[in-house]
Amino acid sequence: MDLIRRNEDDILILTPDSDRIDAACAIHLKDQFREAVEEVEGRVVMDLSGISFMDSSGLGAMVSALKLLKGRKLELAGLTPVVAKVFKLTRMDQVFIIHDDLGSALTADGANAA
Amino acid sequence: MILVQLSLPMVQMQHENVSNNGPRLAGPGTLLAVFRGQTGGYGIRMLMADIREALQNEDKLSVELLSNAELIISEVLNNIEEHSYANEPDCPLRVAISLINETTIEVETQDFGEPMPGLKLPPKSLPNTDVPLEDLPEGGFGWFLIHTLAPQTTYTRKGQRNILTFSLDDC
Repeated sequence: MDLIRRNEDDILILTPDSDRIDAACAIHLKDQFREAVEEVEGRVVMDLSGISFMDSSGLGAMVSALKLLKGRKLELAGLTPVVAKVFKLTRMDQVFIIHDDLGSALTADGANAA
Repeated sequence: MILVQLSLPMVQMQHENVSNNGPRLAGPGTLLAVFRGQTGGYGIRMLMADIREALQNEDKLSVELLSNAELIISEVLNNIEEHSYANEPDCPLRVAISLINETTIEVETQDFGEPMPGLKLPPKSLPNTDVPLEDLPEGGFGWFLIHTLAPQTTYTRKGQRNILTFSLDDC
């Protein structure tokens, strides 16, 4: 799995090119994320609208990605119901900034959003 | 009584042959299918793809049940791979799924790895998320999800086998 990177209005948008974030790709995702956010100081939004499955290993990879931002919030957009459930049950929805979709993430006011 | 731990490949093969002799239902119901896979690489992902396809063919099962089943079976298999088999590749995984009624499935997993510590399931505990960023938990959610979505999960150790059983229904 790769993280596709693009910038829009100084916001780094990361999109996994897979429909699953599971134990098989969790470590790779963390490495890809580290590479992508190196020397990036603006907002980072991960578009999860294409992810139809995430297990607790995938959730762990998202938490380790958040830590790599060293105090800045990781913003997540477009959680499908299955993925949203994993965040909600584990209360991790309180730890990330979660946007309904990428559009609202881009028009939101940075860290004060959501 | 002295328990002898055997972990020879031949012993595993014999157990596999025994379970090939016929479906072994833990409860009443109709055996839907038995799925076999191996640890390592994309083993669990491939096994889950087969399971998902088989469950999708059962029209009466809800989307909600399907997604819960996929999550919980994955969590159980990940746990077996990581802990029971200590990340050893090419170890056998077996998942039997039965239809209890039109809207309830029962899942039984078997592996030949190490027994659960204390011969019981890990507790339902959610790691504390109200902590400084650097202390946020990156794991430990698996058993919380299993106990939350499949509260009736049971564990037994039979000979060299770990057996987990749980049911999921529409509620």
